[in-house]
Amino acid sequence: MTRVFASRRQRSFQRNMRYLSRAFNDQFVAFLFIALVFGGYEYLHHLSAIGHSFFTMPVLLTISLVSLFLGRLATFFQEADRIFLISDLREIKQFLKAALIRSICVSVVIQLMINLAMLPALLAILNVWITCLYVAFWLVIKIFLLLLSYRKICSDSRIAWIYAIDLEKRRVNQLNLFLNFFTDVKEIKHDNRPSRLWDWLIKRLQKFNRSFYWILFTRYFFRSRQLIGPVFFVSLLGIMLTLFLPSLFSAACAGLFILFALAYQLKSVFHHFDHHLMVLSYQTDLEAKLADFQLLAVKIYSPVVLCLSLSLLLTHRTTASAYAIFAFILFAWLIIKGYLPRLVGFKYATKK
Amino acid sequence: MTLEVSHLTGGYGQANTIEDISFTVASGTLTALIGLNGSGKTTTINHLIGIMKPKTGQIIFDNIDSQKEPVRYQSALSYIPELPVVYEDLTLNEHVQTTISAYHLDEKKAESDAQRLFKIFRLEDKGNWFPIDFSKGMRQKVMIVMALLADTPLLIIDEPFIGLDPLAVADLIDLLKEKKAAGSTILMSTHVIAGAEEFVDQFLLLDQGKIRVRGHLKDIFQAFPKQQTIDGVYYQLAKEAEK
Repeated sequence: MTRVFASRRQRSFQRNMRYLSRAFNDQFVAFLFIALVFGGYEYLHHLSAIGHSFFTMPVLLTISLVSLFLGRLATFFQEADRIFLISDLREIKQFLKAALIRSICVSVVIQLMINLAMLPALLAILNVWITCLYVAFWLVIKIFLLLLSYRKICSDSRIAWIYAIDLEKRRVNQLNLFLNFFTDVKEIKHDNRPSRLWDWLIKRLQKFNRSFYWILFTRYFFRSRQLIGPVFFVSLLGIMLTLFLPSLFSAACAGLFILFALAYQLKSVFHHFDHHLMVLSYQTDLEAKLADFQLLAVKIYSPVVLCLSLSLLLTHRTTASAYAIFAFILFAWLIIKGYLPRLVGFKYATKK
Repeated sequence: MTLEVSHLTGGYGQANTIEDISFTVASGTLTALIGLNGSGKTTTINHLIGIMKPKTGQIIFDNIDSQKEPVRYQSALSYIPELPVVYEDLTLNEHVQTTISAYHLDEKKAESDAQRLFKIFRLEDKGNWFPIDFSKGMRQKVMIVMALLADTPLLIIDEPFIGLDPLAVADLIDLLKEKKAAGSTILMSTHVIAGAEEFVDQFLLLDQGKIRVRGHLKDIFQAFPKQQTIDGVYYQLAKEAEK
């Protein structure tokens, strides 16, 4: 069994490396380098302002809280294990212990890296000892959560297979979603979690359009946790950056980058139903499909552009802000009209 | 409105799963494709619904060629798959909306038809549920309702009875008779032969990708004189395949 799980771990590692190597091409590394240098300069240059800001502590606490969701217990369990491995409790328990130790090590490294990035801001508002206590507190919480997951999976006489497999699926999906920010990941699975708020919005949107793909796209977008979540958080990050970055130029650049990142998140919506048997058996109209997709993009981009503009105006009440807002609107329009059809390969599909 | 399949050959990759299949299904009749697993029933259906392209041969319905006018051809058919395929993110009512949009149906009429079908299949209180959470049999009912709702002149059904409770089987047979009487052309693959002669007009026995026998059940038994039951016919086909 040790060999089976070692091979799964190795395959998973190779797969992730393959995706990362695809994403981190020369252009992206160059962009990342410039963004890091630029961001780092802004961060350190305005450290004194950050130290006096009322928002610094809530932002740091939010980052620490979100970081708790990174680095889950990696068991590499698969659906069929609950049938095939059911009789081998002793070995599974040994494997799970090793998996727990590995996961704790990975999580500690992730937590330390995040805290290292936050360290200048922490030291600007807290003294050294309290900063150390702050970092240690979140590390302990993270280890406690991992132990809790382990205890839920592994009790004296049995393995909670359904919980364990579900946990592993969510971990892999979280990893896939992260990789999907940089490149196309085919293995992303989505679970549909309708909520009253989004369903209310879907009903309002239904009035605009009742076409076939519009129905499918809106439901997929607003009900899929794997889609609405990242889009929501990317937008929130954009709002925070435009609100807190002291320089107008950096705030505007951050806003434009967020609009660009959103386009990549929307890409999967267009292709989600391509291989659905019932869609294949219906007559299809690619032009209408693209029109529905662009309409959805308009509905998503409009509030995001509005929020980015408002948050920019809150911090930078200058004439130059008007230019930045105009840039947001123009850039969003260009993305929807020109970039999205290319991104989803629409021209290629119609030529074919 | 007749379905005419002539010299149809097709399959996956290089291998031909079906070879030189020709048959006709007249308007207001139901033809049943029968045969062992792997005999080519589902492959034939995949060609008929347009998700596989024929290597050779033609499929024509109501003078519409499936390859020359795929959009017109596909809009004339509805399909019930062997394994129910529902949209994960849509409620049952939203599946109805999708069908209305896909087939450009009259909304009021389609919604009242849907209510009638929901009642027949005991789904009337499940409108806001997600069919992805239904049992296999209930999902199959959803597929049946959607296909019947489309009210197309050509209905293609792949193994419709699997997973359905006896009441639903009886209801489906009644609805198929109703569709036949209204002039629909129906092609169905099935393993359930008992009592099928009552509503099936023509059987096509597929064997290793070719039509072995066509006609009524008595024609099949004439082709296999040693066999008294359809199970016996299948047994003989399996023995022949081994040789």
